Amino acid sequence: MSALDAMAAVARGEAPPQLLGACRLEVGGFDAFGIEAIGDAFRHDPVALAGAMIAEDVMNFAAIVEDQGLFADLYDGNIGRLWRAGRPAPHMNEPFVAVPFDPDLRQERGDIEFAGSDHPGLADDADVRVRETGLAILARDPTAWRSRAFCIRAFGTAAHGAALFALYRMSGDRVRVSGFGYAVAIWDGSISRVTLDTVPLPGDRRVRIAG
Amino acid sequence: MRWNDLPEVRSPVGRPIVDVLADGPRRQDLPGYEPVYRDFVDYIMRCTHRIWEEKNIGLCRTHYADDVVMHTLAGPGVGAESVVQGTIGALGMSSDRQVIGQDVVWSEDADGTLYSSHRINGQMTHMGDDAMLGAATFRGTGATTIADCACRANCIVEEWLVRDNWRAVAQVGGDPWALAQTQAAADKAGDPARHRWRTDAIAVVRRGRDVAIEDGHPAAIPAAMLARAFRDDMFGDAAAALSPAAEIRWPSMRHGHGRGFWIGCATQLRSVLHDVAFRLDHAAARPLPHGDVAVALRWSIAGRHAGGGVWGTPTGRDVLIMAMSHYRLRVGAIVEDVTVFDELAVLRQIAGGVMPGELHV
Repeated sequence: MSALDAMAAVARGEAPPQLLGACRLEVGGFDAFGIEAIGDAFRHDPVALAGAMIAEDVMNFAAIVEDQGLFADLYDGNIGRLWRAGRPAPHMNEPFVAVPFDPDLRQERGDIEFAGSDHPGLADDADVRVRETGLAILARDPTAWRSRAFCIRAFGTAAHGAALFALYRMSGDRVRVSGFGYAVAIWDGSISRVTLDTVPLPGDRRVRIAG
Repeated sequence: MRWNDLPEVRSPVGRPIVDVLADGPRRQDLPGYEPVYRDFVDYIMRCTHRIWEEKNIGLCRTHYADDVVMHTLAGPGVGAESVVQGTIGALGMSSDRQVIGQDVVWSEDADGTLYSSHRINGQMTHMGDDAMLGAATFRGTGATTIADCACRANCIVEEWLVRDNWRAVAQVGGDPWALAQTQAAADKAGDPARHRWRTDAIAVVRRGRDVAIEDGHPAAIPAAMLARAFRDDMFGDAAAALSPAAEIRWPSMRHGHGRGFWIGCATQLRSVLHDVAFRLDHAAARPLPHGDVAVALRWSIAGRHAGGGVWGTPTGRDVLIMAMSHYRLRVGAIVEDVTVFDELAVLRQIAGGVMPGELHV
């Protein structure tokens, strides 16, 4: 079974043998760990990959279909990690302890956090394409008051490839809302497609931990 | 042995469980170990499977030394029978538990002891009443655990266990702070001498004396990061060891990306603890697929809860944190940090439990 076939089965809510027991899926701020939880998440909201724009190498797989994107880590064809962008959580998100932090560490605000050395499957000539893609994502992000993109996976060449971005967004409301989401991008020649988690940001279930 | 010797002893990362547990001949010299174990990673993964999923809990009697000490932040347990009883109790609450191994980072230490750092995600249903999680809720839980084990001749002779218990309680709809207060109230009853372990452990941390790391060992990179942060308060310099887009996963669902997020996690702890001491307790590294390197660190912090912040109003109590971190390094940079400590047990200390803990303010 090819990576595409295995991913198509996962996206239908099935559990092909290539789906590893220690696989984690992140979707809409929801953390689904293991074969059963991942199957449940996709059965709630299946997606057909027929007609999807696809990019793949030995380490990663990416697909964009309509308004959503899938990204996977591969190990000899086995699926070790999954992200789904553009869809809500299948269940209520867990409570979490909020971390106060500075995404920039400088006054000159950063937009794209990206190190080419993190991505062995990315050709040198693709660095510019990754940065341009990240900036394009930020430009269309409706929460762009403070929006930052962390490139966590990328592969391919300037002509054909894909990237996964973790997006940190803080709203410009008087009481600011913040959180992480994801965006999947695939480019093929002059065509570039992007999907990203939608606003509003994932349900805010931060808790006061003590007292 | 060097950290990257015996490449045939592979990490479970990226492998199906049927491959990890496949029967076959020995791949590593393991004197005194049962013939079924092919190598040390297989020993850790397979004995965990046999005990937890095949429910042969009596195997703990042949896989733990009679006088084994299991260190947790809620206090130590002593003896193989204690392990047997604890395992049966856990399975009585969550009988469908899958102990899914995410990685085993191991080393052969100077005295010939094999040392493993086993990162686990325990998937289960809260289907039975439990002292920590309360009455059965039939909710699913899946907290991360890291178990460090020192092993000789088929036996775990000492274990250090950290579990993200704050998350586990929150997942079943519980109130971790209320539970910590209840636990603390129980701790105050009875003979306080039974809590002496914590005072002793804090003294060890304050004496320092990091475990030695040989030149060129990959563990030196994250070890220096932690020391730079928690000894020197040079958080920006420390975080330079991380990729700019590194993934950070700390306890209680702290999850984010980037150097700033890591600094946020570290300063959240440091801001509430004064007079902080840091100690690096153990380090190991092993190769991963795709040329990556896994590093496992066990480390401790002792400090005085004197700052207002994540743990509420300052209490002045001495606090001990036993933490474990698994890092993925790529081309010398940290691209993933999974750090686990039992924040529920920290809150229990804040609430006055696992005493004695002197008041400073």
